[in-house]
Amino acid sequence: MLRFAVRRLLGLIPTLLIIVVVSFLVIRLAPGSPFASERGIPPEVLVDLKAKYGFDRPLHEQLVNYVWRLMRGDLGLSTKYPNRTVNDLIADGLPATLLLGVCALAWALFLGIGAGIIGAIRQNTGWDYGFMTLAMVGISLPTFVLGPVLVLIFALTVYVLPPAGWGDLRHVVLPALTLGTAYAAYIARLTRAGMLEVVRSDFVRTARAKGLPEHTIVFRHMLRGGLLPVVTYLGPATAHLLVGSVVVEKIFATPGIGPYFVDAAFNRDYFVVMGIVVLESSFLLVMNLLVDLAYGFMDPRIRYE
Amino acid sequence: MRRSAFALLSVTLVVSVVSGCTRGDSNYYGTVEPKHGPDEIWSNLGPEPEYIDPGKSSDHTGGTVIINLFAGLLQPHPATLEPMPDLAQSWDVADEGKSYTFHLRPTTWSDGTPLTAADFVYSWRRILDPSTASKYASFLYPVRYGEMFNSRAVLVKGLGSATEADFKVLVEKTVPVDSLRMAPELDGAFVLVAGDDDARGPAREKLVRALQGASWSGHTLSASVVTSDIVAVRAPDPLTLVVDLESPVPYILNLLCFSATMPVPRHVLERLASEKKSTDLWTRPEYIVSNGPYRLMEWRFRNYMLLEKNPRYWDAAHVRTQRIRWNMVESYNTILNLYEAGELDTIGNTANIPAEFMDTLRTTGDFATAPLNTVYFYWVNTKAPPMDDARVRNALRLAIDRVSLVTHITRGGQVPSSDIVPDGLAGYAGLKSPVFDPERARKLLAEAGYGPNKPLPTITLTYNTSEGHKQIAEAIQAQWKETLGIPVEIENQEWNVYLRNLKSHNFQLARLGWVGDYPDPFTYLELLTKNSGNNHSQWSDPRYEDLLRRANLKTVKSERMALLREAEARAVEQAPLIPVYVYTRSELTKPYLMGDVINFENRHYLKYWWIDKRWYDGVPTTRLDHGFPPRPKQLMAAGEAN
Amino acid sequence: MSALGTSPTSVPAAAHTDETLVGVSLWKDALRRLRKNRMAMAGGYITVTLTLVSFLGPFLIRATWGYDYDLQNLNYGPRPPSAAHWFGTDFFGRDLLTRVLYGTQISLTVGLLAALVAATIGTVYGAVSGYVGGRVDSLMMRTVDIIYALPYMFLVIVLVTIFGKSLGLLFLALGLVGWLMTARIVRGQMLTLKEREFVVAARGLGVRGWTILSRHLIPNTLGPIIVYFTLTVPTMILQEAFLSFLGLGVQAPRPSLGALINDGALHMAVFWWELVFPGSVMATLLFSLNFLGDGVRDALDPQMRGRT
Repeated sequence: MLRFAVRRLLGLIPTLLIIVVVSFLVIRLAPGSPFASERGIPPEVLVDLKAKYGFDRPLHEQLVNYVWRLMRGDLGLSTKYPNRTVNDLIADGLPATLLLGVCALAWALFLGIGAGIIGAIRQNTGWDYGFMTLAMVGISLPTFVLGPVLVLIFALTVYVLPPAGWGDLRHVVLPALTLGTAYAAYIARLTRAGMLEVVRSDFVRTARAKGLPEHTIVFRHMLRGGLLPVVTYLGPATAHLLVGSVVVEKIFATPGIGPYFVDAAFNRDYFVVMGIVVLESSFLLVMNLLVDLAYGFMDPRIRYE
Repeated sequence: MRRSAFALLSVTLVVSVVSGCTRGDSNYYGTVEPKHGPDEIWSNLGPEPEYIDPGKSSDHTGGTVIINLFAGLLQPHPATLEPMPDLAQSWDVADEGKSYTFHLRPTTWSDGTPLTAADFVYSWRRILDPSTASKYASFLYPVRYGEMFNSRAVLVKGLGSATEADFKVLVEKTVPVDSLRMAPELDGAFVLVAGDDDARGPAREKLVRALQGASWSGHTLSASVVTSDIVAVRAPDPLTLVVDLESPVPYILNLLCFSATMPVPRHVLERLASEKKSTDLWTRPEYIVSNGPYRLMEWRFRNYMLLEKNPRYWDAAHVRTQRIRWNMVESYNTILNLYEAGELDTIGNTANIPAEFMDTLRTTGDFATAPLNTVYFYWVNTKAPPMDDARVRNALRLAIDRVSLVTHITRGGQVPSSDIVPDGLAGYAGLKSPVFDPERARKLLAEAGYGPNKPLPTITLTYNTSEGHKQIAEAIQAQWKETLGIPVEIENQEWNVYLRNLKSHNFQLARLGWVGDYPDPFTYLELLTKNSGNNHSQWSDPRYEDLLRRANLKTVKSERMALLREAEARAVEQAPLIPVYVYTRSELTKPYLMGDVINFENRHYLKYWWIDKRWYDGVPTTRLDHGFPPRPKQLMAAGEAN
Repeated sequence: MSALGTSPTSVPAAAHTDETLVGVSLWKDALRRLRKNRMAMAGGYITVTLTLVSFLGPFLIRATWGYDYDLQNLNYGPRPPSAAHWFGTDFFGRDLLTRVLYGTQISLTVGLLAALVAATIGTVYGAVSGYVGGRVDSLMMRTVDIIYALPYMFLVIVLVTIFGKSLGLLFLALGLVGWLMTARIVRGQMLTLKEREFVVAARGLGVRGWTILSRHLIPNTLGPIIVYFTLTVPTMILQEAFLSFLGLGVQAPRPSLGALINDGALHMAVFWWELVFPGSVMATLLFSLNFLGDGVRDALDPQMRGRT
């Protein structure tokens, strides 16, 4: 198992490299320019602007330069915020996004796994239908609907929480709830589905026959196998959460890195987009590795050659 | 029994909580008691500015910050935008309006360093320097030779009385030429080389090598790429600034109120350079030095900016509020929510109230609306059939029911207009063409040969993705269908793709909002000149250009306006662009915030803002006056001191 | 006789009787069980009804009132629900009910189809990857990772530039990310299932790989697949609205459910009906699909056999 993990970790580098190269090419293929504006820019000014970012060099040279600087930890300059480096932008925004993501994840796990387990154990009863209905409501309410609704209730009708902004813990509550609920719904559904696979297996029946109390059966025996689909989902979902949600961060004016991905794409801010891609890919690959390792832990029958 | 009692209790609780925390006066939007002290104001800036460097800024939010951190030669009246003295106490005009001499008052930067005319010279040269890569460099092109410097022209001297034709022949032997400009006053000529971005540099060097010291027709030539000292701005002494212009500019004093003309602290930039740091860092709070009403104390990226009154500003006595907090919120829904909760005293000058909210908000006491120096157009690609026929274009122009559009769609009190220049701009008597003439439109279309036997091919109207643009496009699409019976497709494109298609003329009708740079009709009319880099219609007319050229040589205002009007009338009938309406700006401002009025350039001058303390104790029955300075006397052009 | 018969295709060994035994196929048995599941049937009926109404409704409306999805009535403007307009009108005075029905047509077609395509591709891909295991699995999952990590917006923009705007491209863009997660989930299930006794037994018997996959393994993973499928449908519907920002997807004035919800959310403070009605329709669709999906899952669950 350890050898497997080490091999996978080493394998991260070439995978990341491929992602970087392919993304770089795809990004540059898209029409448009970071310097596009309604007003024309004087031609000589444009020459110097392009030179500043290295856009005047041939594409393959730019790619090599980028990878070389990437290995030294330099993510380049932003075209939209010219006096900030991409490292600055990410360093500024990541703490807010991470805090929000962790809180949202905690809420999602708590609510989702709880609801899913209850739904599975009490399948087709009122509890099951009730929780699953709530889950479907959670999914049907996209964040751009849930967010404003929560704001309307808790910030505008009663002034309990601030409607937006970032500064102290009060500002984290509503965005975390909004962001987490959508994930909670997915987690609840997947948990229930996974648990249902396990709920009628032999070893569970054996455990029941042995007279073990319900909660022991659930937590010691069923959870390991039943959480498999959820864990699979959590890999990319966590990576996604950690890179931030565009919608939630815009609604609540959270100064995180969430909006960068979409905004930078619209602005053709190439280095910022690449920076986010690198960040998210790294998270993703690491999370997937953790998920695969978790499989081994959760179901001892799984073997990796 | 117990259950219903509990229910009753909880209902009561909820009701009391709700009513205890509800808004103040019901005719205002949200709370009306300030959530902070009277010495502070909370506003919203909008998206992060690209730069707050006067020499590099080209976006609206950047400009908003700069006019409050820095001060230039002149400043506008906060309501009417008429130019008033700022750092320049007085000035003299010479050479029929081509030369200005400004007399500066002795002031210092916020760190105590004296501010001199040399700072202006440095800053203006810097913005025109192509290596500064300033997107707004063209703003200072009215300064003589500014454009030459910015375009890296090659100056060839020693030409004596040689003709342009002969000289051109000489130059073209060596390199391809984009344009030539004879400059007998310098005994020479400027050459702008042609070619791609990578070709021009080597071409320039080649030309310089070929002509430097060369002998030609009995002359000895010298050639070099122009440097910053060619720019005709100089400081004969620390408090005198002399500016020479290419040609008389009737609105030059308005231009000198702009952020691009404000000075930058040379000593800070040079210090950073000597420490091998990027000079772009100079606007960070730890380095920044400014000379305007406020200083930048803190800047949390994409969160907020904190400003404090600058005690060293020459007019600090009239800066009314000590501290400003600028939030950086982009989404209008969020801004409205923050405003309602009292976290913002005004929605700022970037948030747009969408049309759907207009009817509700219009009735509140916070609402204000005023026209802007901006027009909503559709570009017409005059080379793409069937739009190559002016009658078709004009028909489309006349078939838009603008009043209905403004009443039902945009709802912001916009001014319907089918003219290019807004009526009344700086005293200009607009054409006031009919804003909806379906009869004439149908007639024109028939004249152009289109009818039931020969239907008009489908036209596509493109716009950049946005809720508002979509609504307007959909409405116009329906109107054209109803009035002219023609099928029009509308298509939204993402901004970058949209711009690319616009510039490569890959469109039939494309939407545009043109913000006037200065309060003069010329800012709109120059859009349709052949050389304008912003003319996407592929239309030009020599007589039109001639009229414009002659107009700008006129010194009598009425004569000038008459010529401009004639030019506009010509262009409007040709319809290379289809105007729709003149923008208005609608804002929400708390009743306790004074000094915040909407001017037609949509600029916020925070030094005039203050809090009416009476609102801490309830709703007052009377309104106070904003307390603006008196409007400048009409003799501004002659340089009267104030 | 233990409950070894966990493979759905195994028929319980019957005692020899005089009657001819009619073998029950998996699907027939499942259908029978499904019919007995009331919630699932309700879900199915509602989905079908919704589909029918969305396709046929507009004709009825046009005949009764003359409304169409692009018929503007600016003077009328946005109004709450009334007798003349059951769902109210939007900003342009267009009847919202007509627009919601049209929007449902499009979203059903696009959303369901795209989700189905994504689910199918994902299942096959994940199953193969998980079953074969080893280096192949590694490679296949790394490919999934790479595709997942690419900047989606740019991919779409590039595709639009190359292929222009078309319905086919819309499906491609929607399905592009959809199949990745299904592949992962199925692969995960495979890894655990392939070590189960019945698989070992089948292999020992010499059953071919493909057969094992299709008849034994995949049906056992249908649970999470179906669940994830029902979860993907709303994503597709909303994703289509996002794609229309990029110029792909249905263009105005043609409505789609996702676009209607998007627009409604922006103005919910002033025109609540613009959000509530399209949102409710989408929620109803999801609920019914959900219960139907659960029912199908239960019907196919071998462990529930004999429990009806």
